[in-house]
Amino acid sequence: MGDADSRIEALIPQLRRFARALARDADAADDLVQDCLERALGAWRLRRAEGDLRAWLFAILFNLHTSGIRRRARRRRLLEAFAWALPCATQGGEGDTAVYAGQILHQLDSLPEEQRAVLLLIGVEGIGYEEAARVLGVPLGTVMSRLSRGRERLRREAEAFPTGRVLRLVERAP
Amino acid sequence: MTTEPPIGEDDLQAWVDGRLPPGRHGLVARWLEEHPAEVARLTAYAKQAGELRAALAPVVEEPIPARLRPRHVREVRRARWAKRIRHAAAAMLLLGASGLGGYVMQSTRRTDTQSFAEVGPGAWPVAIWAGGLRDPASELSTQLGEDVALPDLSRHGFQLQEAWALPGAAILLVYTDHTDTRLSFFRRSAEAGEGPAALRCQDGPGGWLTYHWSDGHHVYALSAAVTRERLRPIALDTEEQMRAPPRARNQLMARTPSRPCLA
Repeated sequence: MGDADSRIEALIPQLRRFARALARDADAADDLVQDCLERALGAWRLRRAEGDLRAWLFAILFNLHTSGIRRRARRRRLLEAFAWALPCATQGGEGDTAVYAGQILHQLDSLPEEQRAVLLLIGVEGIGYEEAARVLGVPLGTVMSRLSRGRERLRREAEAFPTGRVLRLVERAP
Repeated sequence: MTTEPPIGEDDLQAWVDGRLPPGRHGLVARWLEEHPAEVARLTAYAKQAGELRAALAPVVEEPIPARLRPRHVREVRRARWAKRIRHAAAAMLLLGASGLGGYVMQSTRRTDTQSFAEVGPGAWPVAIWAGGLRDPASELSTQLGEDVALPDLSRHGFQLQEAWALPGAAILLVYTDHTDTRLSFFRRSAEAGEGPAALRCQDGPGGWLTYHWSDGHHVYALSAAVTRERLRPIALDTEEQMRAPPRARNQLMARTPSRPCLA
């Protein structure tokens, strides 16, 4: 199991990034990753090909996300959604970049769940089209059309809210 | 060149991601030269992806929370199963086999939200055997990944009816006699700090009587709605049987003649 542990551990940063983009709130995202790892360790012997570990873990995580496990908890914490993005801006001393960073993620949020996932898997995680299809359990053609539609929709969003326009749609929790 | 398939949206997306097959690259580049508006659109996509990566980059740099280490996740899982087993045991002790049957059904229904493949074997109670042709002991051994021997209670008039594998390598066996009196045998792994314990009797609601004991490796319970006088010798015998090495016991059980069907 030591080998399994180290192979899984190596993928945790990527899983956290994917989860963070999906769930937005840091704690909720880590809850999602933890759920994912629990399932993965429980079903370790059931996974398919050796090389598919990443796709398998991403698939479990995405399924958990969409099946809405702990969704209520995430909603509750959603008010703090931008809190995590802001400190990294202060550290870098570039306030605008931070707001901007939050902005692209906020725009991404307006996309349907499946398009969001495709954009993240391919654009951020660098996962290939076939692997993304396996993660999402859809045909390759569906991945390609979601990618295309998602990107176009995000582009329109960005045009409607050009860079520099600060979004303050989320209030801090009391 | 004339046989090349025409440029498609998938080619353009692949161009954004740098995933065009080498043979396709020149063709797409030439096409884009003639369609500058498309270049603007695709560049916007590439910029998008870059912005998303930049926005999420800090997450990858963060130290991993300790709770996400597989070692810790495994501990959490184990603790959760231990709790479920205790619940299963409590349910059995309180309600008897029929009550646990209800518990089993409830647990099984909960898999609606998660596929079995996600959860894995041993996660939920699994009915192993219910009077089929297969050998229940070897079925259970396969399921639990260890040599399991089942008490032979035929000399007390009880025949095995059902065998269940419960979460955390626990076992539930249900026996009945000719009057359909049900007797449940439960075995789970002893938890840390649970040493051997002598046979003890406990009265439950509904006239259920439970004998339980531990050999330091496993905790056993035998439960039935019968008198103390009847259950005590069965419990003593079961305890004795569980003390023998599994292989010898399975041979013992195999030697008992199976009843011919006279119907």
